[in-house]
Amino acid sequence: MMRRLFYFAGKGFRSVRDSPGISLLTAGTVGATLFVAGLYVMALQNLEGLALIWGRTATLTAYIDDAVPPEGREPLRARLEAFEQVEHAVLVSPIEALERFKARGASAAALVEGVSEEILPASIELQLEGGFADLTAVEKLALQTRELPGVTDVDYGQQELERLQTLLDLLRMGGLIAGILIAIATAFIVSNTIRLTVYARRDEIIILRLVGATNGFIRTPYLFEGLIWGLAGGGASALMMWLADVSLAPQISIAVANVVGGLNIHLFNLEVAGILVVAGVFLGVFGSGLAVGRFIDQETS
Amino acid sequence: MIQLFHVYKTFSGDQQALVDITMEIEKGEFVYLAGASGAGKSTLLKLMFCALRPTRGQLLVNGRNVARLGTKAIAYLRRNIGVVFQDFKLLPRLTVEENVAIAREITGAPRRDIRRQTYSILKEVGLAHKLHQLPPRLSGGEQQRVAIARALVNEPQILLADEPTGNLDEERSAEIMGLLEQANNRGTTVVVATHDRNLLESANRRVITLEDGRVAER
Repeated sequence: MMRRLFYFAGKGFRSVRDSPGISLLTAGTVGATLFVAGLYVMALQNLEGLALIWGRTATLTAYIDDAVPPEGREPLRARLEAFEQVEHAVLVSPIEALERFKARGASAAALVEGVSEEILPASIELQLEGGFADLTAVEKLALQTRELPGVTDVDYGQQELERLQTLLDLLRMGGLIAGILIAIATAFIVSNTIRLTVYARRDEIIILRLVGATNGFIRTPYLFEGLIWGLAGGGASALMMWLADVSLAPQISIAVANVVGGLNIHLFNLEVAGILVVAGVFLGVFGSGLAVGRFIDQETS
Repeated sequence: MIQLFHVYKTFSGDQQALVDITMEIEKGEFVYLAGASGAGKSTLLKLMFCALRPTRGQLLVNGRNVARLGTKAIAYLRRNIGVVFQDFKLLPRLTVEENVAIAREITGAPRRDIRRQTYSILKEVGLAHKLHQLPPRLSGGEQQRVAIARALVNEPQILLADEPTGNLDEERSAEIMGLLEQANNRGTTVVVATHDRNLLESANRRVITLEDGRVAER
């Protein structure tokens, strides 16, 4: 069994060595298509990171009942800060609220000119751990906060948050659909490239059949060849991702820093690299098996 | 060894290549299939080594009905049938030794045995000194001898040859026919398809003549 396996592996290696042009073309096709797929995955991961940062900047605001005396506001803030999801809670007095309103611009300031300093209600702003990534958890917290005595209303930018959630869902769904499409396209391209290589060796296959080789004997060296092409292609795509991460990612991070501070763009991680290599091996072996199988079937029929 | 009962072979477009062929070739026999080009000789040989299936009728090789054999069984049957073609069908990128060894490798024989048997058969056909040559560097006669070595290395019970001397001069043809005779003397059943009248007249063997896909003379 092992002797047979070594024999097939040897034949696979020899075929790769004897056809460097075809091998380079096939591994290159696998590598290029996986590189595109890898870039898409990394782009999606970066966009999710971006959405997370946006989510972290959002706050949940609890408005305090006017009936609560100023000395009763701090215990309420402390109680809210004690909630599991809350990172910290900040008390905003009516005077601070008015100052913030005035700071919006001259027309806003003119609007509240001469009104009482306590025209706006006191409020507590809650920063959440992990941001607003989980809408259900935020809604639950809003409900808990609203039920507290002394809280009249809660505002957490429901509409904006829902839009953000929809965007994330779209990105994930789009990623899934695009991933499936890229996988199908890649398998198709790789299978056709490998068919070319199989076709180039049709004489060998015909002679092997003539002398009594079984389909398994004919197919197995091609599977090893596909494995080598897949490993090389997957490895090359991972290497290209790493090179892109080293050379392009820092520049992209700087370019987007003005729009989203704190977002570090990454175009490589070990998990994606591993997936690319495994996908390359799968594509190589599957594409090769499919191509040689089709050829054998044609010859048999 | 080979039995045909009312065998027909029709290709697409209702082109009848073989019509109602019934014949028997005994074990150890040396038989010529004669006839003009297009008479059906090659089609008949292809049926015998299962490259084609009969459209109608029964074909038994070594007692087995080839119409009922699956892909794997056909592969195993072919290991018992050596085939030689007019155009040699050698792999140009493999050496003489590798071209012959390929027929042994598929059987899973140990490497040492393969090398020994390959050398032995190449010595028999007079090419032991050209083990590492590539086929394109050999003459037509030498290439055909390599093809015969490949066909015989598994010691098959049947040897089929389709116009084996078609590309060779008289002297080389005689050498090739000598090798086929030797194989027959060792007990191999040999079937040679040819339209070479000189060959047929010089050999004192059974001749089956085909004409328009039918047996015209036995």
